[in-house]
Amino acid sequence: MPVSARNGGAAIAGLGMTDLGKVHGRSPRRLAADAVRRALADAGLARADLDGLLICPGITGGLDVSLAAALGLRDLRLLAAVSSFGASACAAVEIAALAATSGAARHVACVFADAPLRPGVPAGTAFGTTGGAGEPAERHGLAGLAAGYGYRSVTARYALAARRHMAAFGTTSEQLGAIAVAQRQWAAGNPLAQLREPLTLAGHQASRWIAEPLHLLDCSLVSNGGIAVIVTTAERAGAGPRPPVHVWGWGQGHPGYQPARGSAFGLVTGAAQAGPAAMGMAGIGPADVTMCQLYDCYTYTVLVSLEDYGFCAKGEGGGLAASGALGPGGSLPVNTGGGQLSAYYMWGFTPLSEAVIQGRNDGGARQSASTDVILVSGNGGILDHHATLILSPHARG
Amino acid sequence: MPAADAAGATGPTGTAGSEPTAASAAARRDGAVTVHAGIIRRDERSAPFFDAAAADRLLIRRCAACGRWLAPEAGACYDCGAEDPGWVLASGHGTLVSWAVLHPRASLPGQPAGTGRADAPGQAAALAVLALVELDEGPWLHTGLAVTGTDEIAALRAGQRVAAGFAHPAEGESYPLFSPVPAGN
Repeated sequence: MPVSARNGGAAIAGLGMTDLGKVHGRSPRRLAADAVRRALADAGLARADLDGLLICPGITGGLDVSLAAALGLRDLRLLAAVSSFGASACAAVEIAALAATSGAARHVACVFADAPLRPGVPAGTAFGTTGGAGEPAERHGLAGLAAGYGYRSVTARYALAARRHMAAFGTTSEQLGAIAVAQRQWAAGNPLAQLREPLTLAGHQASRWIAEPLHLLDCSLVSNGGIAVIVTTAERAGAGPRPPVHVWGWGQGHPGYQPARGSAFGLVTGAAQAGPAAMGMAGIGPADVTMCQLYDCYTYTVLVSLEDYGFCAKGEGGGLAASGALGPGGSLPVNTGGGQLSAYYMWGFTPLSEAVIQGRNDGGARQSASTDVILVSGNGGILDHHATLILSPHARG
Repeated sequence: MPAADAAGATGPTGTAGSEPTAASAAARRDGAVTVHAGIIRRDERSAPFFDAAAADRLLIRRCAACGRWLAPEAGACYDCGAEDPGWVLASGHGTLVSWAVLHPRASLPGQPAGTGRADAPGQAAALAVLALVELDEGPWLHTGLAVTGTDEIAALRAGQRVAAGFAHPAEGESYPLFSPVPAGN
């Protein structure tokens, strides 16, 4: 019997979210503790019920296994930091599901928190995109030279990936913009979204370049906050106060790009490995997926993920994005809360949290009816790490 | 080795073989593009690389154990694991894999995001072009391009031939900057 099927498989029983966005004055550690407490309350659990904690740190630091003591947790049976950057959320749920279904732990909290935004400092500073007064007078060694060329900017590295895709397949900035526009349409119905005003393709095109070919509105927001989920068995989750969101499958893909001839950097991501693994475990194919919550650090990341998951042929992601399929009323709802482009930037916990909200039918004005099979993705590093979950409001048949 | 291009030289070079060329003259003429990486200081590991750059030569690494060519920053061979691969002279020729144009923040820190415009006046004064270059030996260099204007940027194509030139700033170490090789060369 597959691990996933034991005890009816695993499910998400609780979701906790702190205030998100320009939330100042709280450390990642405090935000994480708050998120875990909220998730426990949401799941109808007491602190003593929690015997597993997986901690996903952000870029600010200050978040490690000492969070357990800060939360007053005792006698945990599973405690670890899980860090594959943007892929951490899906990876942590995978580990938690394995623990819950094997009996290693009963209830496992997976938590992320970060506080890169500081008052009066440009949002991109923590990610090297906007240097401002922090530019050093000189830099050292080959790493310093790379930074001097501009490689200190995460956005520049993704711009190289996007440009390679454009050069190979004819992908356009307007097609990337269609993703930003569709997600903003979704965000209009999400009270938690930081950006809710309507966005047109012309507005996307008029936004300033950050690293050409990426405009400002191709880039995610930067947010402070924390999000946690509680993973347990489907059986226990079914006895809780909230509708369970079942975990049907998971997969990871870490392509191991080397900077040398033959690298598929920018063309094919780890989704091409993680997707089939997760869908295979769930016993489904791309045609069975009814909704996607995709990691969207950049519009490009959504586009290339759609291709690698098999929702269209390689190179045709631009056409799919521009078709209108991804937005409200489209045939494949993607990032129904606005994603990290328009709602909030909590790394992999942005798509994960929206999947839980939709799976519970808690989406309010943005609720989609297409929740039967929800694909969630996480992407970490510069496309170095990828993890996928298949979630559903329905127990695995 | 290709002839030294001295692209982007911003002052006295103090280095033989780095006469001003068409590229550096163009950079001075229209002032359109900032091609320099700022002031770079060597450390112990990078000293051979920068010594070579000062002499208009490009060093990369090659694993003595398995023969794999590696990028300059490689501290060990990713294939066989041998540590401290030695420096070797590269041809300086390669193809352009991808590029990105860094645009400086059109607005000052503190100005609301999204208020800048792609056509903001003066923005072209500090463009910098990052490039992934696949050397003929195989490794990719995370480097920069010595292109000098928006027309040249618009003409860039994946797979086009590029060659290493070297910037010799007045302050700090010399370093490579690649330039497109005109078709037919």
